[in-house]
Amino acid sequence: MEFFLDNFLLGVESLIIPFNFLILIIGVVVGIIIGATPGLSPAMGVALLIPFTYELESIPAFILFIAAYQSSNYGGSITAITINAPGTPSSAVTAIDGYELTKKGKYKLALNSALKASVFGGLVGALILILFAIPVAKYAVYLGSAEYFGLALFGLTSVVAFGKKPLKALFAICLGLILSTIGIDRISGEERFTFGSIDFYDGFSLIPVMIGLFALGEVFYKLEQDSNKIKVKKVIENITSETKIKIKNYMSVLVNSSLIGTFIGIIPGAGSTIASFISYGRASKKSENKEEFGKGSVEGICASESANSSSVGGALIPLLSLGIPGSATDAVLLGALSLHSLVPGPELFSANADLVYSIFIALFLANIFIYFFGSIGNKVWIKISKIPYHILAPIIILLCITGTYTLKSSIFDCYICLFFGLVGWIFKKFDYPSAAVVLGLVLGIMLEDNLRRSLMISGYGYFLTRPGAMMLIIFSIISLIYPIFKKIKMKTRS
Amino acid sequence: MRLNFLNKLKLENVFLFLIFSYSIYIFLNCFSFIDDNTGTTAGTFPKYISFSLIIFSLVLLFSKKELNETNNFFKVLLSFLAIFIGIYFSNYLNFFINLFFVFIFNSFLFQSKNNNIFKLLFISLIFVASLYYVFGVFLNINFPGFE
Repeated sequence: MEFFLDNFLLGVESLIIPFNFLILIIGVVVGIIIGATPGLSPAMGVALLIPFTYELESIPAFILFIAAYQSSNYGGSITAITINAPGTPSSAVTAIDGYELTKKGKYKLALNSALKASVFGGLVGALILILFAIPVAKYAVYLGSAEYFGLALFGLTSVVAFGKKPLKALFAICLGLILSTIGIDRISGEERFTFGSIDFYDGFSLIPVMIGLFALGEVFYKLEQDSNKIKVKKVIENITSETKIKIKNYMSVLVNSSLIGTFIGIIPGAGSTIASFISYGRASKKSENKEEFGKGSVEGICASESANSSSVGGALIPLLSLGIPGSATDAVLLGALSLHSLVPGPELFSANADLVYSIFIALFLANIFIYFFGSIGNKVWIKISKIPYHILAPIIILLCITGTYTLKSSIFDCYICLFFGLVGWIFKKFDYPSAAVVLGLVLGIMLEDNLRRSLMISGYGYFLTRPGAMMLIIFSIISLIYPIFKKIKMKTRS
Repeated sequence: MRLNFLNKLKLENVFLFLIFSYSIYIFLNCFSFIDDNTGTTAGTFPKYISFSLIIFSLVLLFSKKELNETNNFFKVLLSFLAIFIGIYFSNYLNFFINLFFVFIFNSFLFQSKNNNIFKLLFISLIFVASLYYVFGVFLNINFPGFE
């Protein structure tokens, strides 16, 4: 407890520094803009912020990322409600009821519901992060290579189990795994698939791959989809006096959805979008006003917004304590951690406790600032979201190229980014999950290294002596088989 | 999708744009650009600038003539090519000038209305200059084409 309090105070101390505090505010504002802009996802936004943090120390850099990550999840709801153009994929659920309320002239009520639910969910997520990340990190000290292999395998297979299209997710993961083998073998030192080029010796750097997949890929996709079709509809002026909700009236749905969101956030590959859909689905079944869902239900907005916000805190638990990203944005954060020479896991909690606790407090404070900026700046965010795409797209492209170049001052990385931009576009076009490629690439390294270490210790028999690892492997097999059973069940029903 | 803007784009506007970009290049060249291979400024730039401008104007004209009859898939490839050329020529030409061309070209690809070309040039110039000051000056990162 004393250790916790000491580090907690260290975290508070970091946030009290005026520069860090300013960074937090910038992060919140930038995050809301990212979220409110259709075509900019949280993962893409955080990836584009990375180059700006090269000169920053790790604490302010991660305060910026965390604030932007959390607030972008809220930002998506603004345009989802007012112009029916979800700024982020997870806010698509919010648009169902939010835009209906806007059509009825109650857009202020919808925005207020989304804001309060987001902040509530975010605070619950932050609280659960603090409560669980530390014990998980403490437990992680006892994990060996077999358990880490099991965790990586479960992380990958859960993407298949929770994904909308399991086969496509499996294909994307396999592609990520293949890509992770490129470079110098970390154990034997042999060259693998380098085609004799020294540029491939270190394998693919995560940041160019992610910037390409999430940012450039999205730009190419928008270009092909004809971005001009995104017409901005006029916001109907408020014609009712009801503009605010009382939290206590929606406490049950807020608590349940926040807990669901946090739990789904912990599962690798599930992410905030799935959290929103599941919470919304559950709320619509349990609600006393079922008939209102889809026609402008405040409860519906509360369910989806609190779930997608709380998933941020949940997703940070496996990332910080085990190094397993829970979502695409967390994969970007993992890349940022390695860029700042930080290794997630138990060591991060002991050697960089000030950073970890700063992240905890930044997540809390970010939610408070979201409430503040969300209350005063909705009109501003809507205006910003109307930046024409023929200006926004070249800005994103230039940020992608410059950001990638600045990583290692390497033109080759720019080509990598461009190549993955094409891959990201094709994936988006044919509905393959880009995040699964990144998870394959990140977890592939962890998977391979720990499998080989385990085999070197005592062959395959080593796994039989590790019950934790065996349990994770069994869960992984179930995750792979589950979609097949689901399909058979659906066929027999129909 | 029809690129009305490119159809309405007058030839003199294209020339104006070329002259404008050429003068920016000279401006940057005088103050910052030194060729890595020869260490000179004035002697090397005409070759590179003329080469890149020829390619750029060809692509621009090509888009103007052909884009109407093609689908958006072709636009993605054009955007990809423009970025690729921009990155490739970073080895020979100032990095930020390439970015400027990439900005302009991609902006053309994305718009459908007859927008103000000078407004676009102004925005792109301001943005590229900001990028240079943030990364090149403030973060002190070395870019190709700069010492």
